Amino acid sequence: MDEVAWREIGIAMMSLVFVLYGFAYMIGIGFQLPKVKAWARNEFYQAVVSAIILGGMVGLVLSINGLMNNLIGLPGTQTCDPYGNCAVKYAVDFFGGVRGGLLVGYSALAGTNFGLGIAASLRISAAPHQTGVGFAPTPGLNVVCDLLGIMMQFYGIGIGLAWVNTTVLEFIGIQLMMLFPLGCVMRSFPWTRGAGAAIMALCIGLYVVYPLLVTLDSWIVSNDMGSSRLSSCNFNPLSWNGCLDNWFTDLAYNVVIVTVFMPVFNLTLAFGFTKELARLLGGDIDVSALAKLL
Amino acid sequence: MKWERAAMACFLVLAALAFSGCVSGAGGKLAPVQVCASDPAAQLAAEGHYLATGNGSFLAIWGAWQNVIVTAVLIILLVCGLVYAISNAIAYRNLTVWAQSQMYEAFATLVFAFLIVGIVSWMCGVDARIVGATCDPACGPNGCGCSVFKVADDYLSQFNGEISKAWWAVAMANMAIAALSTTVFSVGASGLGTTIGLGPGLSQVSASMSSALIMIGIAQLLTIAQLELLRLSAVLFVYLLPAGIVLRAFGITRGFGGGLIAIAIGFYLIYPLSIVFMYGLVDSQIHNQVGGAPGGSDESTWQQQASGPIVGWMCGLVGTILVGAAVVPFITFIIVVSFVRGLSQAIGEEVDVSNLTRLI
Repeated sequence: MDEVAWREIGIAMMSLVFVLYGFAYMIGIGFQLPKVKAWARNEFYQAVVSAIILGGMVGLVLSINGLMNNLIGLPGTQTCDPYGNCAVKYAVDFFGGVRGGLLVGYSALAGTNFGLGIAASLRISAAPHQTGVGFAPTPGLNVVCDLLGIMMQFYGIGIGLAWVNTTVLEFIGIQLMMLFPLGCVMRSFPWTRGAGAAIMALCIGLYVVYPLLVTLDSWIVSNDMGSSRLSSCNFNPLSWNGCLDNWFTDLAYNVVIVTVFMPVFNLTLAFGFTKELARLLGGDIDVSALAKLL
Repeated sequence: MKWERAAMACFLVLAALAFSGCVSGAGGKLAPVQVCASDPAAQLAAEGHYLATGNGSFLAIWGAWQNVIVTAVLIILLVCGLVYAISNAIAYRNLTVWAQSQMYEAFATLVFAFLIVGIVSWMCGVDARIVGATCDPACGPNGCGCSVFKVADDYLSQFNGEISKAWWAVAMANMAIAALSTTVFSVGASGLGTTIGLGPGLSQVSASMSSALIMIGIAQLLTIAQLELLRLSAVLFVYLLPAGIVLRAFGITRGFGGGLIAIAIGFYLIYPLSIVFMYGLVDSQIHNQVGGAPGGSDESTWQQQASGPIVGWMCGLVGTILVGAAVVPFITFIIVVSFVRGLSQAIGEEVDVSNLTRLI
């Protein structure tokens, strides 16, 4: 689907709405029905407001693209294909980077776990002619393997959540905005004004506010902990305490903060914005049901 | 009535300025308030601290944003003033009222911004020891002095350090006990004879310790996540607060702006305060428990102890660690969330941040 389709569809649909109200106005004049004439005129004004919001949205997205290209210098076209919104593209790329970092952590843990697993199976016997004593000196490493296994599961969850975020952003960037023209049209009619306003607010909140918040996160993350901390681990046992700390820190930051806390935080803010914008546009949206998904 | 309002506004401005001591006319601009400016920037930069100077740092962003806030509010005041003058000239009453209310709100926003800047500056200067916090004012990796932010960071770092010590202590004891539990004695010719396990009874002790180790590991993960969140909240503050103040100055985004302000204040001011109040006791308790391990703090002697005291000590240790890593964060989050909801309701749109509590 073309990323700019929502703009063309929106313009076409709003033109149709204008034509409809024009017809209603003509009927009001032709049949000398002042109430119909007044109704058509009032609703025409509402349609103009919806059209202005549509135009404003187009302008806003172009402004965001210009801003993002100036600030970050995204590769590719100014329209940031296939999303048409550079903030969405940047956010998708950010979560791609997060996935890569988590995969590195997962691989490092898997390699370590492999080595520890071999060491944990060590068994020493002093039993010539099958008589004597034997023991395993390192079965205590099994629990370390278990812990590393849990950490690997956390990394796996983090990778999965990063994919979820990527998919959500791709859905917002490509699919969700197709609802925006529908919202504009629905808002133009008095019977569906509330629902239309809610749809428009949801689209703006998720297509504009949410990706910008993710972009903000990406700046924070790159400034705060851009480089992986796993490189400080080595075979020197004296460094293992620091190494474990680094793993925990990497895990806590990249999984708990970046893939869990930040998206929930961003979506909470985006839903808060959506709720207020919907009220401003003449509708009301109960985002608590959506918030429960978090 | 108007005079009362004006007097109240003037009082608030003066109170804010006196509170903060942050405003000085430097080249026509507000001098940026350096949050916790007692931290030696060079030292912080050398240690890669999040308060360090440089592009994207707390101080750089915070300093720049203060000017943005003031500029945005002044622009709004200027535009509304023009609208007010024009509407008066053309005698358009509705527009006059609208411009008037926008100017009031913009002014209120400016006062609010000054107050927050003042409170932040004040909190940086306040010695947390007056509320019973234990702190070494000497310069360390988290900066100098005993501000609430530094004490909160110190407390969580100490707690994390104690958990780390506890993990290695239990791991070492487990290594020894697990090794003993696998000892066997064999008698017999090749393929025939008897084998006796000398320590299979210890395997249950080892299993308990394994569970404890996993719990301690997860507790450490949660603690480090809190530590990172504490640091992150400082960075979020310098982005969200100015954005919230600017958005609150505009009529159409007032509610959302208020919500952002509430979140920024909640996480930057209330969260560290809650940590300071909550973690002092937990830190000292866990420190005593790690130091009071059977056989002393030297883990190498623990294998000589009977398993009973070790398991008893370990259960107490794990309990304390779980309180610090799960129960206390839950309480602090409830405090923060309640504050954010209340404040956001008062100054803008209510933001339901209870989803963040569920993360615990």
